[in-house]
Amino acid sequence: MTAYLKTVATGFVLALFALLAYAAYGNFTGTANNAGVVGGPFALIDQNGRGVTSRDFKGRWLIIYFGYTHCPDACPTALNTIGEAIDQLGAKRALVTPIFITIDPARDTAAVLKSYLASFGPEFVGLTGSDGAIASAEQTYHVYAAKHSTPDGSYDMDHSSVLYVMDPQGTFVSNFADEIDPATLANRLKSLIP
Amino acid sequence: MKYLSKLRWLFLICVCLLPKFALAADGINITDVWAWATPGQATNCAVYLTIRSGENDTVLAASTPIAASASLHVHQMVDGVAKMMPVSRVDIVAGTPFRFAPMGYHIMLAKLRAPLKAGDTFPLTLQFDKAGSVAVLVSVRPLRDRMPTAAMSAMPGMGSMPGMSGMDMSK
Repeated sequence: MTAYLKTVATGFVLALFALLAYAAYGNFTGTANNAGVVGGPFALIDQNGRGVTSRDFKGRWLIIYFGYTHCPDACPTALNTIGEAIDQLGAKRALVTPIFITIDPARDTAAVLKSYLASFGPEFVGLTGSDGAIASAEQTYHVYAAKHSTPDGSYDMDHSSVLYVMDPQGTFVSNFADEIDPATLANRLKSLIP
Repeated sequence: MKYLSKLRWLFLICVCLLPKFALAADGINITDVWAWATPGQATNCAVYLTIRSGENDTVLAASTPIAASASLHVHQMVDGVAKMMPVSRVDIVAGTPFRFAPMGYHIMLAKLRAPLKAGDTFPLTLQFDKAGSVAVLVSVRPLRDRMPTAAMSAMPGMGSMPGMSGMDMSK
């Protein structure tokens, strides 16, 4: 009988571990889709050099993407997708603010972000900050970012490349893979935004 | 008897493959060669293109006068993390179009000498194992183009346009 109980207990503990590991994995990769898990308060500096917090964006639907301006492929493509999707939102576009949060604050100053984002459209907000403030924002959104050096003595960033949609209360609603096309993203946003 | 039937199949397969070998003389065809306009002061960019080859070939390198370096790269998602990794070669299978496209294979240009503006074109040379050097012209696409999506195929870099297909410099 005790052997039976032991087996059951071991099984239960193993199942719990598996569940926790699965949850941690989901969080780490930014694919957790239970609302409320992803996102939270942040205090950063916008592209105009002003200090802003997550509270300043209450009341807005946010599309948040973490990236860096030296990124040749994923970031310009993802930001272009967000911009073109917003253009297809009709009346709902007025409710949406796209936010680009840098994972490379050393190179992406407010001024760099300002000129970079101007190419994507006037509604884009760029956020930078101290290493600590950016690390904290990354943690809040379960974003992974790491430098890797390149042969020319510079560096690239490995990073989670995910679009996060937050509702006007600042609650996580959905996320999308970076390869989503503008029309699909626009349709998903239209159905999410009442 | 069994062997005979196997041989017959082999013969049939060979016959079916013949047109493929005939294609080998067609060489390399490169289309849809484009790059995003560079946002702000960005000095890195990616070039995208589609390669068709009549024979199995390999892209070994790329070069352009407009940047300090051009290298073959792949963007791979590993557990939701985008990793940019250099690759030393890209194999092209005969008759199968190979697409360098956003969020996949691309030619990364580092330290551009000048920003890329929509409508610009610039030269790029690909080095193939068998076909040798093939020069192409890269069209610069506008970011967040507000044209209706139906016009996509008419946009620079999106369709095949004269001057964008490969010119074989080795000949």
